[in-house]
Amino acid sequence: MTILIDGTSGITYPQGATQIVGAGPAFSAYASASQTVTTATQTKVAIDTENFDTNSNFDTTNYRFTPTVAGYYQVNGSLRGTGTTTFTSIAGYIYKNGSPSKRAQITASLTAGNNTSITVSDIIYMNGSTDYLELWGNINGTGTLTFTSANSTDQTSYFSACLLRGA
Amino acid sequence: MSSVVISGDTSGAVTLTVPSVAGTNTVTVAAQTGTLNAAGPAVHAMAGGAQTVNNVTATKITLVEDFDTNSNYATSRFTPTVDGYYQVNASIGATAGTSLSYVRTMIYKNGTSYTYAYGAPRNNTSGYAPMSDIVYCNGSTDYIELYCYISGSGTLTITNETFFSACLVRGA
Repeated sequence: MTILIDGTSGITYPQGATQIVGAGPAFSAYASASQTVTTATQTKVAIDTENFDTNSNFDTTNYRFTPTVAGYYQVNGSLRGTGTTTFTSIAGYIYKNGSPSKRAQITASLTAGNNTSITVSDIIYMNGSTDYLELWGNINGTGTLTFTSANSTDQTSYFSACLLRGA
Repeated sequence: MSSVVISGDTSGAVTLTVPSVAGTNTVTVAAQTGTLNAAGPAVHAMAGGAQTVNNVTATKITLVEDFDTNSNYATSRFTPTVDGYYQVNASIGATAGTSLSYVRTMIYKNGTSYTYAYGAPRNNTSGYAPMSDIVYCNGSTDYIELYCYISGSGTLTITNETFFSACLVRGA
């Protein structure tokens, strides 16, 4: 096998050769317990338990991912909500540096107690020093409103990211 | 044109050959200042036709490949042969003959539920639940499957909105 590096073609390796993969930050974490929230109120999701965190860039106290490598990250956030009386909408947000950066929302007239998840996935640039990401959510309804999760085999409110490309 | 050549043989020895030019020739591949990511396993599969499932029963979904770059997908199971972290995307689309309460898209890892998403019905008889996550696989024994769990009445059917995809995004 020969890997050729030159200034014109970049890096060339034979088709079918051993894969070349990066070693940038990657993490996956989830909420280990359900979280009661107030209707129509932006609330940070308590993502407190890691599946993995290759670069120690996720803070399980502040539920915050601050990657130390500049670049473009695949980011996934999913949030499950329930309401005991009425449940009319759920929105999930990826916050970048404390402000909504990406949003996905489901709005519907749902029956009481309905389970609904919302997933936000996108590629986000991070500067590798001060930029950070958090998962936030918002439920509209009445009765007890909950971001629901339970344990490692019931991960329904979770957050993950991985470096795809350097800056 | 100057080139740096890295070559290996069947014994595993690797040789680095640098240009015969004056001065210092340095190749620097910093550990975390960039990402080289090429030719890792990637798969995409979709429901090949309607599949009837039982009420409130976790059921493995049978899918048909669109692509499978590393031949790691078989019997609706993804067993990647490269150790690393995989971006996984999936959605279950479902219809109910009478009424649909919810549909759950479930990612199973090694035969056990790992992560999932709920979808409320978009009308009385149909719904879907898209999800995305990053999952670690050890490149040998770890495998991932798509399951559904539907609550409803009447005949419950998986629709062609159902898919599963995965791609290596980081080495171990």
